[in-house]
Amino acid sequence: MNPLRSLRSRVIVGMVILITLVLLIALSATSAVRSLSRTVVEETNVLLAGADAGNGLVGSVLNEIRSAEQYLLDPSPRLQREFIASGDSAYAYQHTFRQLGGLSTQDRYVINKIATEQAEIEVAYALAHALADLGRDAEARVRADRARAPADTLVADVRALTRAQSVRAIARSEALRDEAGRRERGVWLLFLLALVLGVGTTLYTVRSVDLPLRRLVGAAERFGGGDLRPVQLGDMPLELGRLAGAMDDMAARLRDVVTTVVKESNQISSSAGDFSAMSEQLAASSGQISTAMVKISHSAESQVRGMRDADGLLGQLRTASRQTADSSAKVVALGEEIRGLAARHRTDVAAAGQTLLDVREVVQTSAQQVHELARLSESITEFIDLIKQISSQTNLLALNAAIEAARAGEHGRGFAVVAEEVRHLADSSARAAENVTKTVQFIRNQVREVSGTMEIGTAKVRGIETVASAAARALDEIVTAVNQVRDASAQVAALAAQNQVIVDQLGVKTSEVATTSSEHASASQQVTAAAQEQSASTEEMAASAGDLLTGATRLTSAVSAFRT
Amino acid sequence: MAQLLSRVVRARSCVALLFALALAACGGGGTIKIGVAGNFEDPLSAPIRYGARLAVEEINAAGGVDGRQLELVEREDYADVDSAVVVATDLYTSDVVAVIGHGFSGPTLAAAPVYNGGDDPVVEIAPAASAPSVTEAGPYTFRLCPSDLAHGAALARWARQRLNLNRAAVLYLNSDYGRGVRQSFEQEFLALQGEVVASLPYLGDTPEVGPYMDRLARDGRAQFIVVAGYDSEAKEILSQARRRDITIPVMGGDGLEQIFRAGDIAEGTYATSSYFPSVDTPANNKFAAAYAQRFPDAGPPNGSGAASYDAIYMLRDVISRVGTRRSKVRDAFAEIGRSKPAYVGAMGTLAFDENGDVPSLRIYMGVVRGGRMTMAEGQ
Repeated sequence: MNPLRSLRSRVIVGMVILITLVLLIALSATSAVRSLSRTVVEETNVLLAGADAGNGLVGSVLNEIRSAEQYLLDPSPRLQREFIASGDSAYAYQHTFRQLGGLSTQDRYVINKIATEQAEIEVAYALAHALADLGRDAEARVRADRARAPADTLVADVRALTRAQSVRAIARSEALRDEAGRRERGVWLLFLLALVLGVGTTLYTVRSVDLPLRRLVGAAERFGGGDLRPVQLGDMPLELGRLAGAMDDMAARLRDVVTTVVKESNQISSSAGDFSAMSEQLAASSGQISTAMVKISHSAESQVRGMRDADGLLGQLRTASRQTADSSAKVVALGEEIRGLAARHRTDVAAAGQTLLDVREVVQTSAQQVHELARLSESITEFIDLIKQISSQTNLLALNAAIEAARAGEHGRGFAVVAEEVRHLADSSARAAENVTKTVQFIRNQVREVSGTMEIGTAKVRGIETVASAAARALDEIVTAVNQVRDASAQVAALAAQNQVIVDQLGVKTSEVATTSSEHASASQQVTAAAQEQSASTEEMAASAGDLLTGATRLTSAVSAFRT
Repeated sequence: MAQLLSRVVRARSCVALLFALALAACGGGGTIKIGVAGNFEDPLSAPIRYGARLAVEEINAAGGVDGRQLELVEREDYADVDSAVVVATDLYTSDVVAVIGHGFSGPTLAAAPVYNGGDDPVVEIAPAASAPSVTEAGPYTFRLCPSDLAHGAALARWARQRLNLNRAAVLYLNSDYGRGVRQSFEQEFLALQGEVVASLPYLGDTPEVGPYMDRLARDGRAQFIVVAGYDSEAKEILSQARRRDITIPVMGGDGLEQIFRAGDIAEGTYATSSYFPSVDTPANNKFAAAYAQRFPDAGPPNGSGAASYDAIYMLRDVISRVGTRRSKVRDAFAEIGRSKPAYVGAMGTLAFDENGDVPSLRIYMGVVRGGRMTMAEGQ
């Protein structure tokens, strides 16, 4: 996706470029000012040094000449020394001059010339001094005069050189000015560029907003003019693109709405037609009504009579209804009582049921014990059988012993007594066993009886449990039933009350109706008149229906102006 | 296919063009140009040209510098300061890598600001400019001879200590050179308890010194004369002195190197020199022999000849080390004898100080004997 599609990014890019340019302008201006000031300082220094050297040179040479001339008038070693020192100093200055920066070839020629002139001045005065020392004053004067011309030229040359320096400085400053101007133009150019770019960016942004916006406005105006067909809005910035999308959506929705409205208005207009027809029929039928009304007025009178009878009947109905209400209240009170009783009995029955359950438990435990007893009595029987067996054997043994004792004779007499005793013992054991067997048999019979009774008891107890729960359930059902009865009677009471009100009202109404019915007779005559009036209104309605039809048709045509 | 071929050809011609441009940027046609400036008609300065030529011929015969030939650009300055400025400007704007020159202190100093100025300053190697102010002439100005301060001081010591003379009359050429020698002599002589009875300026070539001589003859105090100038002036001074029967010794700096040409009157005249062909070192022997063989009619070489010969060799070393860019040549040249080893040449051991001077050089005293400049005894 093109990053410059959105207005925001365009504005940002434009601003960044603008700021960069402005920074460039600032940098360029700063560097220009710096380089200019540096150059100015350099130039000023060179100029100052040149002026110093020039002044020093001229001063030294003049000093040299002065001391030389004084020496000619009044020779002294001090003046001689001064003369030489001034010469050296002038030479040093001339040397400084040579070292100055930025000298042209022409300047160097002038410096060379100054050096020569200085040398000439010195030599002329040195020779003059020698001649003066020798007393040849006239010759000395001639030599000294020779120094005059180069001295004049030297001063002029130094001035010329200084002037040349100044001129050069001026030229340089002009160059600097030009340079400054150039830089300034550069800055202006950059500024102009920034301006053009800024304006360009702005125009571009405005244009890229304006054109799509105009297209959007056109589309909106078209929609406003009723042309709702879809439009091609073309390429546009991101933000406006969204707006265009929204407009497209809006138009689509409007199209839907208009289509629906057209359909509905068509329907309305057809309905209005129907309505118009119907109202005409109504007008026709209202004539018939007025005819029917005459008949009604007659029947109304007989109706009055009927109503009087109905009133009497209603009086009876009212009494009955009141009685019903009273009985219902009684039923309710009764039900309430029953319910309280049932609840109470239910507790008692529950307690009885529980007692019975406890009894059943006891009975069941007893039955088990009885069974156990029966089983134990079996083992007693076995034991007795054993005893019987033992006593029979003992008896046999005693018999044998008696026999043996008999065999033994005398000696066996005692033994025969013992054996006899043993046989007695065995007989009594057998008898005792027989008794026990009888007793056990009795006990077993008793146990069997008890066991049978127990079985019956248990069965009965089991039945009792069922009965108790059934009683509880029955009591519950009673409570429920009582509740239902109470509710029902409450409803009946309420209904009866209502009924009474209604019947009262009905009574009132009936008498009213009676009154009204008597009025009806006269009213139906009025109705006849009214029906005739209605007939007229119906005609008006028919006319209105016609208007509605016209309106609906107009609406249809208005909606059809929308082009969907 | 043809299209491809033409494209290849075009690419190749592009490469060739670039190569040619690169060569052109390197300073022209493959040769390395070195400027030589001086007044070659003057016997003092002529050896500058000969020494330089000899060195260049030797180097080129041996294959040049990294395969590139050396080429001299010789310019005559007529020992004139204005001409020197013109010549210097001319050489500066040409593509010379360095300049050897000028012959005398005046032209050297006049030209120095030109060589040291501008956007692309060029090295100026002065073979004979002995004026003290050459020391401060600029970072691109070097010299391969002792300063006049050394010459003047050597003179003062010789007069005071060897000849035991106390009172001096100084006649000086009123120029950078003359003033330099005068200044250094007077300073040293006063320090050695000597007395300067007169300090007299004159103007060049055939100076008017009659009044000075008259006064010297009348006063009779001076024990010797120092001529701080050149041999032509010394010759005039000698003849003026002889005319007035002044016979006191005359001595001077290296400007009096050729004074022996003045004939009989020059006998016994002293002159300091940083160089004698007879100085017995292997480098000098080789140079002197080659010089005599190559320029048999030029006479024996002097210090400026030896210095310009040495200068070419020093430049060769520097260029082969750092290339031909002027600023690099300057920096490398300044390192000789400092961060880099000294150069041992015909002049002796050449080691620069921070001002581009060579204080390491010896000063010899010469004396005219039998019409020739010879080294004075006892050195």
